[in-house]
Amino acid sequence: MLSRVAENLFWMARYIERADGLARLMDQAYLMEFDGGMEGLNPEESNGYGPLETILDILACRASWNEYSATKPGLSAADLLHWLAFKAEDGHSIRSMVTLARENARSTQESLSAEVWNQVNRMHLAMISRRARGRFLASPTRFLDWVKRACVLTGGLVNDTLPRDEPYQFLQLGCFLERIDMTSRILASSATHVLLIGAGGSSGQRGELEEVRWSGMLKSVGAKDAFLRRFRGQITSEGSLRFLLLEQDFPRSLRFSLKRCLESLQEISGSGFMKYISEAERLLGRLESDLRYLEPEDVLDRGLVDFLGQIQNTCSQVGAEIARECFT
Amino acid sequence: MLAASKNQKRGWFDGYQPKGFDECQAANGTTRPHYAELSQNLATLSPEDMERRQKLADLSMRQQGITFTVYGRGQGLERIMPFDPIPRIIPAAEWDKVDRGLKQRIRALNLFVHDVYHDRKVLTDKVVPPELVLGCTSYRREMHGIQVPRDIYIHICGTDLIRDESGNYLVLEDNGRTPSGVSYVLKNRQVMKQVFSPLFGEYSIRSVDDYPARLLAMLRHVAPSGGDDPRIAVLTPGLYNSAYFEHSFLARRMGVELVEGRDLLLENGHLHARTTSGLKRIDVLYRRVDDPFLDPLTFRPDSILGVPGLLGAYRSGRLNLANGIGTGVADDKGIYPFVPDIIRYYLGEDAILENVETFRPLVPSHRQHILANLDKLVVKAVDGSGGYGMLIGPASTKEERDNFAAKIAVNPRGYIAQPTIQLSQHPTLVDGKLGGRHIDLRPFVLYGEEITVLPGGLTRVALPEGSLVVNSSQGGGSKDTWVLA
Repeated sequence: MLSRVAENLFWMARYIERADGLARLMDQAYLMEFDGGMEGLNPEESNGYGPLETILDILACRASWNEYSATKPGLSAADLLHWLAFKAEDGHSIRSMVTLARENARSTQESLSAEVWNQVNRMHLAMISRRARGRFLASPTRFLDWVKRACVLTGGLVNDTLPRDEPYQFLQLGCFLERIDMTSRILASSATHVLLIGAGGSSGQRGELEEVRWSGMLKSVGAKDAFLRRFRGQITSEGSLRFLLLEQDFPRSLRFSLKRCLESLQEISGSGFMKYISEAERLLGRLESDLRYLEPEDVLDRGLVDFLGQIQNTCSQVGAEIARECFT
Repeated sequence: MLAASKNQKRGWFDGYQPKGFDECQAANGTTRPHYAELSQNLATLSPEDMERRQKLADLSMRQQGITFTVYGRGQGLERIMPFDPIPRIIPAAEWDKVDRGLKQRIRALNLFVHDVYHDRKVLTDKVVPPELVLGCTSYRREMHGIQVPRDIYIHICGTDLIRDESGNYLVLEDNGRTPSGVSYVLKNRQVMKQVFSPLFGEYSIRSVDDYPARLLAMLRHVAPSGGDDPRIAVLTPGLYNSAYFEHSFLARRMGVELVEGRDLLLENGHLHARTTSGLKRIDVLYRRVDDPFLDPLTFRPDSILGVPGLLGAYRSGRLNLANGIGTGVADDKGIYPFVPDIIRYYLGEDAILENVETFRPLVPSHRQHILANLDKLVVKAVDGSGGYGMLIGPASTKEERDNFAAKIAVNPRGYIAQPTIQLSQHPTLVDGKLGGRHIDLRPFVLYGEEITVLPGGLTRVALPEGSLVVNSSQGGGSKDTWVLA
């Protein structure tokens, strides 16, 4: 397939996955904003680490929010939610992500099925319509739920209408690489928060805070129900980490996503599309074997934030390698 | 007249006025036989029902991304072409003449292009003035003496037809470069079936759905000799071109790749595409990029839509292009008045489809006539298209006419003038009622192993009352076109 088309499909899948991830994050953070009173969770007292504000770090767009909010004093958490849904540019709001996904899909329609293209196009048309804003104002949760459904429907149509050839593999690669990246960012943000806020409080407060934070984090990646069934007990840092890093069978864990990325890369290179085992494959393979022998306690001791930072580094290296080998 | 009384009950044709040549009604207001069933079928639908269905049709087009991009004010806007649900119906016998006329025309025009780039007999025999051909902006001297596969230059032609006051089909212009609109023919039919199924009734309508398959077969037929499994691709200027949807649609329906100039490069004299598994050769390009942008080394050096060196591969027979380069000499408005002579010269036949009467300012008597009748004539720039750069006399101001008179005096070769033909009118849904609106027809002709005409074509409709401009860039809409079996 054309290199340009491969690249567009890869990014279409990344932006859909990112929009899905952001909608989940926003929904959870929005609900947590209501749990006022607890130290460190109230926006006025949060010092920039309120639930919604942490999303700014996960998306690496705190600077553009600061720039925007500087011109409009007195913005509330609700304004931030609105900004993340519609206003932020350059792929930092849901609308912008959907528009980018759609632009990528539009220039590769002939490699997708008509159904996948129609779905992405419909999502875009709905996002830019006036109704979208009305829906959001009436109930942010319902709006975000609609976004999640639209993204999941796209993935479903990809799975059910595309043959397992190159276009499909590049879509999978984009989706799961984005998921690794996003999950590691969410973990890093939660960990930073627990460390920073928790450091000052009593151990009781700290335990409570830990539970609220990790519980929110699990919810925000759609993992809470699965986690509770698997562990049955208290939500702890170790348990949450174990689940999201190492669980083999949960589709939003790092290990699961890594495996899917590797499978797609092997399909792409193995069927002769590429001449040799790729650098991207090597990097991901190494990370996968690291995770296989990892103990969460070790990571917590060694410094969780650093460890997650390394994962994000690997992600960006892998992205660059794929671009170098396949897209040029 | 059961049909008539039913109509009156529903009122679809209340106050409807046949003016000029009306496709549906004779001058005395009786329904033409092939429209009788349609008006019965219409009577089963209420205005509310029609409105609801029309909204569904628009929504379906928009969701499928069947849009074109309009330029002018700031950024390009994505719009759907307004779709009118009242189909145009053409009886089999009427179509038969159109079909024969179009085949005759594309055959003669191809012989003409070949001659222009080889022996130029048509010029030495004084059938067409040499200065008109060699001075034409789309004449390509690079094509002189070049052999193209199977001697076919115009593989795809979208000839615009209109009907005069007596219902004769006339050729308004030949589009032998990169005619667009065929995707609307297929999509209009699809939406019609999905949303306006009650209108079909007992009609037996010829299918248009095999066009992409025929297009692909044609492209394979004209591949350079030697390769047994030619690789075909569609070349698009890119996402921001107004016909991008069509390029993508045709590539998908043919199962071939849609490429842009930046995906392509020349290696060992062959055209290649950059793919995830290295370079892949391409044998035939269905190109939707105009000649001047195809190759920056030969034509416009500022073009980023083309491929440096592409012309070399084409000239040496390693690559074929559809349509060929330089076909613009055949559909140039300056050459148009000579097409009936061209047909007679090459085929020894009279033109089956007539031209619109045309005056050329280069001829002194014509020039006098034009200048004296600017308020009654349509003046067109010979290198303009899409409804840009023309004067519609009856709708013009004195200032506009003076402006054109001056232009004609300076550059007589640059213009032609035609009487204002009223175009036929067709019942069209406007504000919940039927009103007569002007239409034309663009059928699509393919020239491969044989010549085939897509039964139907794109019927464009000028939506403002009385307007004669059907171009989508100027607010025109379209209709499904039913050729009866």
